[in-house]
Amino acid sequence: MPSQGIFKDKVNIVIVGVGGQGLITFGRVLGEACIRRGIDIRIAETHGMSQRGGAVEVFVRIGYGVRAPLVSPGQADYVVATEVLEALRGVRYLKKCGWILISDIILPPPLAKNVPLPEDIITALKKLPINVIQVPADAIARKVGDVRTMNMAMLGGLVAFIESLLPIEVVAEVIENMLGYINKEAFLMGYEEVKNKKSDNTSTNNKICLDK
Amino acid sequence: MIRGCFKNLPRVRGKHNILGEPNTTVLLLGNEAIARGAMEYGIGFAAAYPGTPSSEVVETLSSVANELGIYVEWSVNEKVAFESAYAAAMSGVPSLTAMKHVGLNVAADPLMTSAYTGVEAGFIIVTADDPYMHSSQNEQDNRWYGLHAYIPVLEPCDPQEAKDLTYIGLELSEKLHHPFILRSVTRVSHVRAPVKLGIMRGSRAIGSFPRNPGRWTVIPENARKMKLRLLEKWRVIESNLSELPYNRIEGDGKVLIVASGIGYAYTSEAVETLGVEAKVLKIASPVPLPKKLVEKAVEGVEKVLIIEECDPVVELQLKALLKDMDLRVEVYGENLLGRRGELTLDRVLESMAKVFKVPWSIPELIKPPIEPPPRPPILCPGCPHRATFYVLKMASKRLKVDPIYSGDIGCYSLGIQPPFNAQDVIIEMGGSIGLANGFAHTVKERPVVAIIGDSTFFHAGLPPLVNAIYNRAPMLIIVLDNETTAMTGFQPHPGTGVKADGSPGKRVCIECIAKVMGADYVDVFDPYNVRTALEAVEKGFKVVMAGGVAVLVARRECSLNAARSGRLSGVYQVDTLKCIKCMLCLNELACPAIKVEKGFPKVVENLCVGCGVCNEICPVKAFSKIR
Repeated sequence: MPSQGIFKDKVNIVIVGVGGQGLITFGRVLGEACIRRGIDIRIAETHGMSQRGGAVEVFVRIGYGVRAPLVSPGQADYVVATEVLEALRGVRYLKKCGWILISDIILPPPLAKNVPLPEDIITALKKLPINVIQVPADAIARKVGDVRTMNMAMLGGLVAFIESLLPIEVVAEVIENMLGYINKEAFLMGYEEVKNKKSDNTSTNNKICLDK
Repeated sequence: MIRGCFKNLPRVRGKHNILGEPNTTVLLLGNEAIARGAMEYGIGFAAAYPGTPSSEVVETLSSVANELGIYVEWSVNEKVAFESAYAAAMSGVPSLTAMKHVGLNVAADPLMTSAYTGVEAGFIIVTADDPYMHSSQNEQDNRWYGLHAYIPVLEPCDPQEAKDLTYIGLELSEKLHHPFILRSVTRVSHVRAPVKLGIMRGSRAIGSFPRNPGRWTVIPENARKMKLRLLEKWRVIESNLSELPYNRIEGDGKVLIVASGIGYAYTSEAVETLGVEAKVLKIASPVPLPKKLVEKAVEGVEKVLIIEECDPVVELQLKALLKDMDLRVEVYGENLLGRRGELTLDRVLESMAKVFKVPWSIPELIKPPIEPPPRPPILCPGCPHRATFYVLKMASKRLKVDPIYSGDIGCYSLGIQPPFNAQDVIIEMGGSIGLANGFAHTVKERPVVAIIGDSTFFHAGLPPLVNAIYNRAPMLIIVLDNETTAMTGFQPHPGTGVKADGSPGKRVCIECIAKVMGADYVDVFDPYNVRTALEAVEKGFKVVMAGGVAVLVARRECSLNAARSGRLSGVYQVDTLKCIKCMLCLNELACPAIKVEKGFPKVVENLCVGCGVCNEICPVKAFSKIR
């Protein structure tokens, strides 16, 4: 594998959500973009029983010399939560001062009691030594006209952080080829949204992480 | 032709990648890489029964079968798949069979003897193990089968190696006339990574079978000779594996780390992270352990640490070898890593740090500020099994019986969840009917209900059904026929009449089998039609209570397939003027598409697929289809 050392460090990403939200496609797009850039990648997916509406995790590791497929708790640079409750389950993967991107979708499990409210979850997460960004992925997906494009809006948000590794045009082209134009639209809108948000410091209330 | 006969066309996944040009690097799933390795070698035959995490191997091959001239089938079970592929290899056609780890138990009978006869062309047995039991009933380590059956085991560390070792396994198998096992695990089979492709040799699909009973019939006289030859061959195999470039020594130091399969993926990063000087023996053939290479690797070392996923298969062989060599070194492995679950970088780092006596601590973890509600897998919106479980519970309530629900392996295992609680025992494929044969004779005061899927019925349900009828074991068998093998990714099966490549086969009818076998009562119902389903189930219970065997087929297409193809559509809504807030729909169905809003049940529009079962059970029919 011709790995280039432009990004010396490995990037660890964990995508969490609910089976059926397109997490595998999210990983595949990242994989195809890495292939085009000649960067090594490992994507560990969840298939089978756990996919039936259960909590799903996809682990992505990018960079020269990645071999281990899993990301251990406390090791992720980024956690992408395509569902708000799953952000609570996914946050343990995050490094101190790592970034968590959270969608505007909440899917309470059937018959679940005392489901916390999204705003309470976000408030509680913002008190941790991490950086929190909300991505209106569902709103974006509805705007482009297909709720299934939500995952690409979230991917756009992630790429706003790793564009020196994976340029936006490369990923956009992969998406257009693989999934079509409106998925690319959702992706670009997610990217813009996060690019603007991450530069202002309102995304995190945590002073420890402000300078990061 | 049954409804939607051609609906189960194999999904083309990354076909562009799988057929990529030699020397290009493409993104492949581990299982796709295994398929590509077999394609490059030029197999002419592949047979499998689907099972997570193995299914995509033959699913991928089925998508290119016609293009490459490979015969590919979904067999009724792993034993038949094994036998078919084994016969292909006897006839000179290189072949592959693939299964999940527990599938190899089903195929263990021919497996054990295949080493005695050997094969003519390359024969690779892919077993995909599932450490941590993501989708399985146990985490058996199938490398033991290699030791047990005298069949060498290759163990890749990533998708690239999965492709390479599949090719090499077939090549060595053909050269040595011996079957080979490729042991994958979830984090190889279901990992996507860059894979550099090789040249595809043409497929060899036509064989011949010269009469030679001395070679192929294991009557005692022949088998005794074969065993003798097998033991000699085992030594030849071991020395061949010592020369395999995928087994190698890297680096130098006083501590030797022996890393087998995926253990190597974690080891190489852990050594780098800790910055220690280590000699690494990378193992790609845990069975038999490449003796000559191990002897070379242990020279001059003081400590040995073995990194392998699950059982200490390499460790035990290595310890025996050290004993034979009369070499006293400290050996670590299982005592630090344990023998359950998946390896992680942390687990490997922690044990390595202990052996090297270097500091390492797990970083401080971020704890979730609020405990999230558990989210186990559940039946999908519109799943016909939901309605069947509801009907089953209703019928037993009305007849005032407390059945034993003997469960099975498939989506319907999820019937274990509330509100159904209708899986009292789940062991293995076909176990629902098999175990019912015992309960029927020992627990007299409770009727036994065996709940089995359509694909599972063909896989392992037929012999225990015959047994029940023959031995008069009263039971109600409910075959949940959703017209596909849903849990593993919608593979066709005999009941669909569609073959692996999408072409028409001959449909095998479940109710006809039950009738001709002599079941006392056989009926078919549509679970979406709750009233008639209830009548059928009640009648079934009565037959069982009178000492008979009843077989009911609950037939309704899987809602995922039906919704994707447009055969099931629509969205329901609740008329809050009609609704009496009894919450029956919510509490009795637990459909992900129904939630509570302002005290009323509310249909989640983008989840509802329009099955209408909620309205069927609603006492005031407060639901209506809005589109």
